[in-house]
Amino acid sequence: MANIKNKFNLSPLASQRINDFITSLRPNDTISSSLFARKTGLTIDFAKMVLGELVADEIMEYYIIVPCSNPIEDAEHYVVFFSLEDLNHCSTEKKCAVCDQCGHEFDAINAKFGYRRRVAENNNG
Amino acid sequence: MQVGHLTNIQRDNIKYLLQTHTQIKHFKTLPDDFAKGIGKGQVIENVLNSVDEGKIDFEEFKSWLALHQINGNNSFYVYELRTHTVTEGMLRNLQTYIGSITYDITGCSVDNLKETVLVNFFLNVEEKRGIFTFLSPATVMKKVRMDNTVQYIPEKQIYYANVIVDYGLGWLIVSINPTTNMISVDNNEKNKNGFEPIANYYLVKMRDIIGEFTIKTPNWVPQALDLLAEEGTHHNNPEITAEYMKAIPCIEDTVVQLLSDFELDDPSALAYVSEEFKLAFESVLIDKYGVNEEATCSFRVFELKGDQHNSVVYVGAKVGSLNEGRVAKVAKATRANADLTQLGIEYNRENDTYRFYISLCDDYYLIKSNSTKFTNEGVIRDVIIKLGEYKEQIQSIAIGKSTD
Repeated sequence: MANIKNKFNLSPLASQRINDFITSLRPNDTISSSLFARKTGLTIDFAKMVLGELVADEIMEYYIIVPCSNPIEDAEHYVVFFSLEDLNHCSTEKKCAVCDQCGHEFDAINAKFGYRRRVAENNNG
Repeated sequence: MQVGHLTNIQRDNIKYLLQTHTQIKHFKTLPDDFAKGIGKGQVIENVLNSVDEGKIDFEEFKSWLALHQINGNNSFYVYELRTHTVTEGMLRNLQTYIGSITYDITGCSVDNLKETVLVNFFLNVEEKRGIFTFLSPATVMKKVRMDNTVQYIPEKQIYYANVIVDYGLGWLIVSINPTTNMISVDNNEKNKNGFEPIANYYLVKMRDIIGEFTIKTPNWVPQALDLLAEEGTHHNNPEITAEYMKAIPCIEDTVVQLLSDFELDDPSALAYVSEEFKLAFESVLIDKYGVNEEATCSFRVFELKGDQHNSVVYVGAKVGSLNEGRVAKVAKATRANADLTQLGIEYNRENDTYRFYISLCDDYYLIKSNSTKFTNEGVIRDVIIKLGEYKEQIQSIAIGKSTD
């Protein structure tokens, strides 16, 4: 956390808020940059930058959920990627970019990033 | 044969629009003398006769005919304009030549309308907004009974769209009717997000008229919905607040002791159990002391959808709102740990109650009614203004710059 505080020149209050929020996350809690911003009082753009740094410092980890493009409302399925490389690979490989539930292509444009606290026994990378 | 000011063709075209789109409540915005009668058919005839005889100024009537559809049962697609993209000066300038790009609404019929046309532009300097009305050719599936069977056949219709450029608040709002069985509007089909492609189509039409403008993702909306939900569901009872504050140290001590007894020392476990305990305690305080109805704001929440990235939580009240009981606790816990992507709100205004949903979508937010109740656009404007106030509040206290 000291690295984050120095890098972004955070006030003690902002730094404390970030730390408190991260330590309050349970192993299965996944947050968005928007929720992180709300809980820590940061702008969303700034929250994204801080989250990126928290990932780099191995305090947090991210994963990506991509919906398939099934045109029926509420009938979309999801696939999870644990790195941007995997997502890029999949979205350029026709054979694996198709939902195995319904056969529709995955909609990489609507990929959403989620973040969770990095814990030793929860390493899916 | 021409009777009075209207040609027969104009009369037929106006009659078609009034018959297919106008509700009795719409006529209330015309002077009483001109829109009287028993039943819609008689009212339409009286309106047509009044126009024909010059009792209503023809230009004013045409403006009304275009604008009246902004009220009713519309969905509002609210796009956020980047700062200074559209200005009053631009719209004033547009007003000087708008006549050359506007079609006469009374000349539009199902048969001759082949593409989307602008039929009216209304600049309201006082409210700092301009309203553009379009008519488009559309196709709906019409239910027809034939030989004891029901069949659907495509039928051509005229479709109204109003686009509000609110340069004061920085919104561009597409107001369109979510017509049942609609297939396409000017060859733009609905998709699983409903009328989104059609709303986006009117953005393209607007760019043709006012030039390029940029919109930005309203990523502050989940936070604004959270504030609205908090205000709309708060008990507003100082007795509860006092008792709750008094109990907090006791709850925290109890939770620490409990978890310690079971060797659960993770700070996240402490935070989680403590949060649940506090919510439950507040809920029973509400049961005892009750919600202060007099101080409750004019918005109430009856449904919410929380997105937790890998899960979704829906909480809703079939009757009433999410102010008390178990459901209120679940709703509050959801708000605390998820992005709100949809909120069902009930708005009390002038002794009337309106229910609608506010949903966050990719690059806009949507306000749509959850009933077919006739709703004046002013009601929706109140909600948009309210969300705008929350946006200001969020952005004024947040740390860090925003990339606008």
